[in-house]
Amino acid sequence: VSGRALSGAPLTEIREVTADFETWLREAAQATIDDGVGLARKAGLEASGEAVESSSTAWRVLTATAETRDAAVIVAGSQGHGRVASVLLGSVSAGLVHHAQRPMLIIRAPAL
Amino acid sequence: MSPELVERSLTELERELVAQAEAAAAEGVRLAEAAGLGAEPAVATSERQPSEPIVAAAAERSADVVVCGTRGHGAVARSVLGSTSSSLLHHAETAVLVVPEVDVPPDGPALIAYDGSPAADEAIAAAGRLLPGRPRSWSTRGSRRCATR
Repeated sequence: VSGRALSGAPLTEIREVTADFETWLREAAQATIDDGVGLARKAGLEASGEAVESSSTAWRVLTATAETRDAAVIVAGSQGHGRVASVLLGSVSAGLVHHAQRPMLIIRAPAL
Repeated sequence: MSPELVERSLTELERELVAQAEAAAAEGVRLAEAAGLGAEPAVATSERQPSEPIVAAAAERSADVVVCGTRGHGAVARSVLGSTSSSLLHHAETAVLVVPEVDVPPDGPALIAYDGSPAADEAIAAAGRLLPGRPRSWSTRGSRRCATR
């Protein structure tokens, strides 16, 4: 949704489009969570999922969540591009490693 | 200084560095054993990045994970080791556990970043292999800023 495409559109229309987009985003996040919880349980983990909506960078949200949960370790892939968002775990991992005050387990992406 | 003298000095310097590395490795083994790990020392020299022999050693031993700190002792070593961990992250074929110099309660959950990408799938699988018996939570991060770009 680019600003240019919407310029000139009535405000209510813009709000509708934005609301639709946010709904889609939440649904996509929930679908990703369900996938992840399924995978984690299959991997023998006791897992629960949580989507965090934020305008901050992904690594800031992750480090903040790790503090709140008192996580012993943060696990992240070395790069990624999910369907929810272009949350590039390459830069996320870099941010985590430089700023996180927790141990970090960084997993290399499988060769594609 | 004659070329012979330079050569001899370099040889002596290298011998001294290897001796220091062996002492550090022995101390590492002692600490690892105190932490309940089976450990054996290995010293390698590299003319390029320190991460290279580490990556090679991990591959030779089919290691599941390479563990490193975020920085070392001393002003000079600090920047060098910082770049080693970052170089390991880029070049290691294995998982890399980077441990900052902070006290963290060891029995907390593992927080797994998940975005549905193949790398994130692999992160979950690796957490299952490498972190057995630990309570976990994991999260998907949908940054709206990124998503609406």
